[in-house]
Amino acid sequence: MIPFSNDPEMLEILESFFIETDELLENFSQDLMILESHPDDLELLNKIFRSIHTIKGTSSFMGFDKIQNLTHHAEDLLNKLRKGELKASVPIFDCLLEVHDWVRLLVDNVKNGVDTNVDYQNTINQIEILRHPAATTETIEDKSNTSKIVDVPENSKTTSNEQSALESILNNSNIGNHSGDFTDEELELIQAAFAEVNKDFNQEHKPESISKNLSEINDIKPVIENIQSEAISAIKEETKPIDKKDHIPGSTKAQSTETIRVDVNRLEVLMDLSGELVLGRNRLAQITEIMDQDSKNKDKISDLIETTAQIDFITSEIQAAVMRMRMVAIGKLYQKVPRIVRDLSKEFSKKINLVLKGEETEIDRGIIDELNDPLVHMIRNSCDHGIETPEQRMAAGKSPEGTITLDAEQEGNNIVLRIIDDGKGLDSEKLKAKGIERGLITAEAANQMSKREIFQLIFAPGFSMAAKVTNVSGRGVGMDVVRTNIQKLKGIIDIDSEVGKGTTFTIKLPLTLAIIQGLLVKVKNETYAIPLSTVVEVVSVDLDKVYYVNQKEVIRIREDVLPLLRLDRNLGVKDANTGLENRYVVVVGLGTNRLGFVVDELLGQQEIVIKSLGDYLGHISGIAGATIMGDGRVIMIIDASEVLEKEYEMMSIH
Amino acid sequence: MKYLVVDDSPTMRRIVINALKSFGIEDIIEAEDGIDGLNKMKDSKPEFIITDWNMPNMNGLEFTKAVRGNPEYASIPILMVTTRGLKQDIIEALQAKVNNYVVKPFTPLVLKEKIGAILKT
Ligand SMILES: [Mg+2]
Repeated sequence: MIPFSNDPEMLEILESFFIETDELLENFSQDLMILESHPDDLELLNKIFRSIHTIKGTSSFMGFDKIQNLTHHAEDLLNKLRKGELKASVPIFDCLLEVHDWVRLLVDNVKNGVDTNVDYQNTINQIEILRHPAATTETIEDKSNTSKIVDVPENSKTTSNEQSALESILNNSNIGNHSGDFTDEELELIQAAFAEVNKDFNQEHKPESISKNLSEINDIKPVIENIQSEAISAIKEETKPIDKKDHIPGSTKAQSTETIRVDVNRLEVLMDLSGELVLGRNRLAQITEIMDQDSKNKDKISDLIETTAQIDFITSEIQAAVMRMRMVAIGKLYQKVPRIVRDLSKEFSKKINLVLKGEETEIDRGIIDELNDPLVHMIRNSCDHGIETPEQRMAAGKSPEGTITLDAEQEGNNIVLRIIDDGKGLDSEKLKAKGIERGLITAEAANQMSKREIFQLIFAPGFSMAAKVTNVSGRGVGMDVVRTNIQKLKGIIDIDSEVGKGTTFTIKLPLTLAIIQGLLVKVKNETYAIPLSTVVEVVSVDLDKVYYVNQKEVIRIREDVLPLLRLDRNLGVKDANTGLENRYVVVVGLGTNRLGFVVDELLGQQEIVIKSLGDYLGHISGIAGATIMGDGRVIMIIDASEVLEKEYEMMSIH
Repeated sequence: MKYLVVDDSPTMRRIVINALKSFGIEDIIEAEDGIDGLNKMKDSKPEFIITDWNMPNMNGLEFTKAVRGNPEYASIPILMVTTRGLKQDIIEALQAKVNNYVVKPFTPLVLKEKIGAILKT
């Protein structure tokens, strides 16, 4: 046998197994939950069966006995559903979802090269009980291990000459009537039957090329035998995780698919390069313009202008194409949600419908990954605190079933994700009281606060809305972490709520983190870029309207008091006091906090490629990075989130 | 000699193809279900088919019947490779005129023997 660890082909198969099984497991659990509400969908049931069937098949080759065993039992159960011998029920779905969880864990263990003791026997027992509704609850042994040995009745061992092999199979009701392998005798019979079929077949069709082609077949190389232990040791030897290997899984099967999988790192490289290309293009356009003004050789210049325009166009296209490659449908993010809602509904004895909208909306893959935890937490929060119990809902004259809606859409260069529940809503008076009780705000301040400001209290560290602490979302961590995570993604989170009607969380995120729309502003002689995703609005202000609260400049915009920050002073711009009269306030938002940057001039918006200052300058407080303008000038990108966070920290000290 | 491997699982296709390659068979095309298989056959006619049974859209049994029902393809040997090992399954496969039947998981040796057995007769 070829040692597994030396066999790159085997590693490829293993990797293909991981990718495929991840997908199948995801489908399996999702489809199960759809089936739960549409139990008559036979087509879907068949698909669910195929998913688990395929995992069983491939895991058997890998020698993953536990996975094979679990999937085998699930398959049996599903088969009974397919044949109508069992009726779909909540315990059956619970059990199948448990199988999903076990297999997930087992696959992850193999991936990570760990071999923890996974005891899924309870699930198997449960399946056995469900399969045989009449059976008693005494321990049922796992039969699949013992079922390989089956006594073949005496008479079948002596196949009579008169009886054909096919007939003898047809007449022998025991053959194959068990799971697991066939016995040798059975195999012999089956082979004989096939030999008969083949004989008939070849009398009809005599392919001449066939027997000579037999010589093409070489000596055998045993490549697929008992690879599990070798697989695990191979993974342990690999210092890097197997799913980050260099090769592109699935690339050899390009014939039969429209997609190939590409290592994310390769995309990052491409992304960087296309960013550089944008900078080069900008520079080229600038030089062309200058030459156009200076040069006497007008013919050549018009060629240059044309070529530059062409490169300009192609660069934009390349950039867009690379961006699209990094985009994944937000549906990927939704995948785990139905299961969470299902399980929590049961836990809280609530009835909760889940509506998913805008699944096809695309967003940068890096953002999706970071968005997962906050979303899960917010869904838990909505199930726990948003939606009422059926009794409470009926008493309030609402339908006993609550609804949580997840909706995503693209708005310009942003993705807007909404989590909407039709639950009891946020009671701003109660929130105020709690905020005062927790020492987060003074009673005086509370009276000055707008509704939106009060709602944002739930994002304060240590603020828990739950009257009693539940084990799901009342631990006092959570919503503050949600806000922090959204902020890290340069996003904004807002709350809208009405008592008795429900709550809507709105998360606004940039489409991507590497290329942003920037608002270019002038502060004295310096130009800065402010990420447009953090900009809520721009207002022109009369500086006479500025007044002071705790020695901080503020201005009133509609019903909110907006703290101001003089960017010139904050960034140490020279001649800070040689004033320009016309000032603008760029209102930036982070979470529900708002801050107004006072600037002198608005230069419009532009697509900018963020270059990290990293290696050269290190981190500069308040600066997210730099970008290179068409004329070669380097301008700083203001890290609005960081500046805002700092300001609010300082304000809370006062 | 061209082989067609039909299976909805990319991993299974790899396993089968790796085994075939280890026998020195290089000319292999793939399809992910019966319909895809029939389409691929239009472009380039295989001389040997290895097919899975459980597949979406058109399963291996339906695929086998479609191949046998087309005079142009009827003479192509078909080896069915599946986890379905019940008697009833095998009888159905026999009736659909597959040339041989391998129950997963199999070793390359078994696969080679089955292919050999079909080509020899
Ligand atoms: Mg299959």
